[in-house]
Amino acid sequence: MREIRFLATDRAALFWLGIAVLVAGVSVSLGLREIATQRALLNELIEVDRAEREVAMANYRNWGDTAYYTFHLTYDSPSDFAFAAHGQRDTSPWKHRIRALALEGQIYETDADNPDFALVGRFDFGFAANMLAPLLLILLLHDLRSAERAAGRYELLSAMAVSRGSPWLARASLRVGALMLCLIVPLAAGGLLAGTGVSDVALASLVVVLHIAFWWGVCAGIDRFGWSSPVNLTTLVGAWLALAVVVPAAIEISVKAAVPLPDGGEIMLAQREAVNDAWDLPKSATMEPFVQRHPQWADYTEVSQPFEWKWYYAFQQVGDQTVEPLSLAYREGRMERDRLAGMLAWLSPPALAERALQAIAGTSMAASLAYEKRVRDFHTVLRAYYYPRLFRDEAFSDASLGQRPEFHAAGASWCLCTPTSHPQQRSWRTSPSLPLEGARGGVEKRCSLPFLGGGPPARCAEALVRAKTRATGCRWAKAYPSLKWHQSPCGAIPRRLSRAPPRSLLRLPGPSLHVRA
Amino acid sequence: MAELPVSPAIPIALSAQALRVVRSGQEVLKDVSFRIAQGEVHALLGGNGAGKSTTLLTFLGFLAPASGSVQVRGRDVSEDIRAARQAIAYLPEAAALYGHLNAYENLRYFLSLARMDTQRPALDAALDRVALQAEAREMRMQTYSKGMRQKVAIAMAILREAPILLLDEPTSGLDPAAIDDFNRLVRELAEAGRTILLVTHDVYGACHVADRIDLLHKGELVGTFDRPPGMDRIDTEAVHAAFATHAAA
Repeated sequence: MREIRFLATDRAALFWLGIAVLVAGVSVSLGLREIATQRALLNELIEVDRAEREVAMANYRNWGDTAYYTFHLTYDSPSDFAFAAHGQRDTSPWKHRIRALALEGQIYETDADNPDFALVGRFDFGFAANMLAPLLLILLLHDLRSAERAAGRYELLSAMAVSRGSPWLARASLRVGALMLCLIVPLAAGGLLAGTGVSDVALASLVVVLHIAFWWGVCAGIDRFGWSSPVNLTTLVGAWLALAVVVPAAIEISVKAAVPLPDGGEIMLAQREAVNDAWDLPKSATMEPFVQRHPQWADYTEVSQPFEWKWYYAFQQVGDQTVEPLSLAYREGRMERDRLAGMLAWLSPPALAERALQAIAGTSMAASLAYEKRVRDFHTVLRAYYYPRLFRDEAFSDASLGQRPEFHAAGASWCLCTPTSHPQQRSWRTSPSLPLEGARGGVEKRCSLPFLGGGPPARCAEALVRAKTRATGCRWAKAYPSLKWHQSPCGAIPRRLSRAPPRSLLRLPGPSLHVRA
Repeated sequence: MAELPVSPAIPIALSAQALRVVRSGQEVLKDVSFRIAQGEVHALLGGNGAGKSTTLLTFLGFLAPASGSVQVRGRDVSEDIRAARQAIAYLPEAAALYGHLNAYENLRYFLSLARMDTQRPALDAALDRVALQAEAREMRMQTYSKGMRQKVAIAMAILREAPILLLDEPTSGLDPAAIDDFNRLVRELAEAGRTILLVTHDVYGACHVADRIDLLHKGELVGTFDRPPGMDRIDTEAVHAAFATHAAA
């Protein structure tokens, strides 16, 4: 109480705490606005996408044209905590228009953002809490004792104090606690407005608390040397510069040097060249590598006309196959970079805290890669839908068109499973979404057999899943509404269940394919 | 070294034995020994850099002896610094209290550190004893003169109710009338059983208020002067002569 009254009269401390509230409040507010903008844009795009597909369905009455002219919007809905840490959503694409043509070009042909803006980055809560809050803490604590020494009060205060550590511990903890509150209260308010789960806000608050506690430790450590206030401040700001700016920059440089990558543009160009060249090559030059990958269509590779859709889509596929090593290297390289950056982030608590907030918000590199994988999986499903119709030259029908897969995001769950006999995933067999009871809007959840093992989803509409699942690859379906899933290189693993199989997974009987609700 | 005749019945409040203190590689106290009985007013007199304030800081445990020891109420300070500090009210030289607080707020804040919840009448009584104008008490201390700030600090030492007072240049900044009042106050406190160790370079004031004066010069005790029985002060001339001799040396 004594120190609270004292703090209430300390104008400098109140000023810095006011700045903390302002910074946190503004960052949360900007974050909420940005996410609202993204959601509004997605809603608009979903409507446009639906309308365009209806037009395409009305105008084109054969499978080739339909596959060519029908776009499918894929998107990564922001989580209800994404307002706090935009993470990769700033720089990585979170929406695409996909059709059954070559995929690589579509994946890496994204909206061009203002590079200047990307350089500056967004002013989100993560930035406020991880970069600015340590500075504010330094300003609050750097002269706690040294100013009293300079004023000639230190000995008097220490001599008067009865309790051990008083008044320094009380003063410091009050300032630290006040700063934490100044950050967490706006965050919690933002969470309330965004409908964020309590566990996410609590977890993020814990990250903030631990990060601030680290910097408190640094301030206390410097304070023990008994230096003057200017020396303390210089040393602490130097430490902040080193840990928050220099080390992360060094990590980025060293990770990039350690894991060289092709760039997405390079992949797109190579794929387009492969596809364009195919027009001038003998048809067999396309169909042979295609059949190697898809032996089930070996009996349907006869191309007698100068142009046939199956040949057209085959060379699109072969275009993807041509750049597959490059694309795989790119994806694996990004994952490796992310893994290395995650390890090295332990050298920089601000970077570590930022990664933690992004993981909670679902805006990490892993989440971005997971979205890209969902796009690839959807594209695989789309091809798997069209190929039988194109190669067998099936009659076009609305009933058959009605079975065309659609990309599901909010409230749906992809069940993407690798046949256990093909762990290298040469041939993905995927089943698009099982809309599961209680799934949280905007957060897609996936399962992956090789990593999960299994268990029953208590809340899953079991009968529905059993009745509708006939996929060869998908032996497990997830219906666990309250968990977010972390991406692993080969699939998704629930954060807290990476060792033991989740009990809420359902073992699905027998093989099945293309399950739709 | 001369020893103050202390009755075995009167407990020793403060004592230094062969005290040697080194600061920044420099020996600032050299083999200093003295004892102060309860209820006694003891002055450490000396010029700048004599080691007076260092002696006080050693009793408070802020400085550790390089050799020798200091004891508060018979207990070595290094054994329990907290206990030593609890027994002591300390008035630093030119005590800089908080300028953005008024006299009451300053007193309440500092006393609360000692877990003392002192009410307004008691605060006023102490401020009356140091003759701080009533109209100034609600004003922020950044508007105070040095003497007024010193009065508040003295009031705090009184309110602390510790059995031992360590006063570092307590009359610094006070006007002559206030110095007289302060000297009277010190005598009253001593008569009430408080032990007072004051550090000063004011020969006249020390002779009037102290029962014994130890003269410190460059970290060494170079002279001791006692109040003769039946006299109201120590011989100022003798102290002044000794002080001047050492200052010139």
